[in-house]
Amino acid sequence: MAWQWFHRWGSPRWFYERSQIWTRVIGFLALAMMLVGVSWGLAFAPVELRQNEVYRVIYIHIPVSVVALGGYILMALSGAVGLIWRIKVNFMMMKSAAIVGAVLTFLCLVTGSLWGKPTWGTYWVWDARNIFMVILFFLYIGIVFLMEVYRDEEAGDFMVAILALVGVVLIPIIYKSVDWWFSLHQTASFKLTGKQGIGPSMAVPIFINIGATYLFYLWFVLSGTRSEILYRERKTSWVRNVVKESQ
Amino acid sequence: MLVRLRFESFEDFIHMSGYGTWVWASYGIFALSLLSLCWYLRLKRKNTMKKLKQFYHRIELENS
Repeated sequence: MAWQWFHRWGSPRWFYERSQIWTRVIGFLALAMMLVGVSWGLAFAPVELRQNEVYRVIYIHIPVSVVALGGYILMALSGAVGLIWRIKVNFMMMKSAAIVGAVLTFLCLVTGSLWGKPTWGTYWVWDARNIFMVILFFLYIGIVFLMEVYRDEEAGDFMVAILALVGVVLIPIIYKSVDWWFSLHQTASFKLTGKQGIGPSMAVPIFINIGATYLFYLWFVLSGTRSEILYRERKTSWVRNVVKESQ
Repeated sequence: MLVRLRFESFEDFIHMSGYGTWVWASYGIFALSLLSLCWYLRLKRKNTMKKLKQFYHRIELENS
């Protein structure tokens, strides 16, 4: 009984119908939180003593980096659930998750590079974290292309889920790379225990933007999955009715 | 935690103590990328509906 909701979400029709309202709520929340977080970070957060105003890039650099990594784990988990319980919706979610994940990883690299020039004196250094983030970007791109290559949807879903699961090994390596190898990157500013590397007046807008970016990620995945469901379930009568009603 | 506007004027805000180019370029690329993702979703929905209409039209023709 407790797991009934879980199995219901596995039904494409149930997912499509129930996700409509959630997509709107999550989209609205993401937009509202992002407006608050970005304005706060840009205009209201105090200036950083050593880096001056250029540090304001962190209000987007950290959120996109956190969600690029966290989103990959969610995508791989979705693939694992799809493989174990044979839930088609999970595979459909992976496609949208890979697209938004690739864009967030690209944003992490570009904003990091734009932050690096005035602080490190260079746009790019071949350090471990940068290299592994580039590998993560290509992994996301690879997953997107792999989905397009297969004509047999089931075989494609299986291969993509396996690739995503294998790629999970990259996430802890990226996270710990600044501790394991010499790097220009600073070590983690947020720690679970001990003294925090960043004060609350600077940290609050970062947390708001992390929440907003996760909500945006979720909104994108839900919206993309809804379109994917319609196409993959095109032979069913309920999709035919949805298309008829939209005319 | 004190929340107050940190800039004296709009020019200061744009200038960002000489770092405006880096800060605004980052935020600009961020905004453009998110807007592109929204545009992609819209396009995907539109294309899916178009494909489905063609699919059902073809089936109707085959049945008639």
